[in-house]
Amino acid sequence: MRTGDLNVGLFLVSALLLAGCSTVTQLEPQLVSERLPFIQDGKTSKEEILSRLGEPYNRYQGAQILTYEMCEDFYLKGQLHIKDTRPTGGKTEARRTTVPCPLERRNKLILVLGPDNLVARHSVVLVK
Amino acid sequence: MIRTTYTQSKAKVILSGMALMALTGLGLSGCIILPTPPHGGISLITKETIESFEPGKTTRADILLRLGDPAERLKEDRFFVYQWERIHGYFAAGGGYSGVAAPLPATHFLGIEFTSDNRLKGVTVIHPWLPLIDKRSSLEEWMAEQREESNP
Repeated sequence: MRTGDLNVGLFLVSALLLAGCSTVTQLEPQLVSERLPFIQDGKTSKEEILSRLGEPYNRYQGAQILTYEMCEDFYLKGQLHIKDTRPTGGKTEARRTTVPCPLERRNKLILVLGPDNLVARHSVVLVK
Repeated sequence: MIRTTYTQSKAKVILSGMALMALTGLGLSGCIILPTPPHGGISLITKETIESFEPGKTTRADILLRLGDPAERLKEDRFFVYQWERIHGYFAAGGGYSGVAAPLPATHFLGIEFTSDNRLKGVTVIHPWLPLIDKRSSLEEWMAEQREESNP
């Protein structure tokens, strides 16, 4: 067998072994509460969400479902931060960034609002 | 005009030479596409997750809470499309004492249809079985069929 053939074979085996896999999962509700303590089902209002987090990434069902993009932040030692889309600064849970999340790290905060415009359910969807 | 003809002729000679060199190179070296079972990938949605959805019961909110934003929203949110990539094989080429290899990904699709009251109506999962095969057309066909069923 030639060295070149052996190299290709070794590379293929290594690639098969090293090929990563990222699956869509939900962050544990307790961890969501720890990271975003102000969001509480049945208590937090839509107005508070918009004032603290800015414009959502997406809206569904006449804005009764809002989504925000969350990135893992290298400078926050891997903690998730929400992309701040508000035009002005101020103290906020969102972190201003112009750098888009890498494809494999596009985590989402999903907020489902009830008829009273309070958060009814929420989750953080992770791509990991 | 003459100059143009001459230039074209010269270009043809150069292109022919390059093609000949490429063919000779391929003939003298090894080149292989190795299909593998699907593995790895990004944003993978598991079979268990998809099977947990119940038509008529699962809502749009349930799906968003579970999967996040879809890659595409179509027909005024009647359809959601989620997609992910998996590696379906490898391309490898070797010549002399060196070689290169690269993974060959293929895109998988999850199509979801909702009723007008935001409940799940149906899903389709499209898995390509060969690398570099685009199965997007199958998804388009499924959506067209669903629309025809609703408006016969």
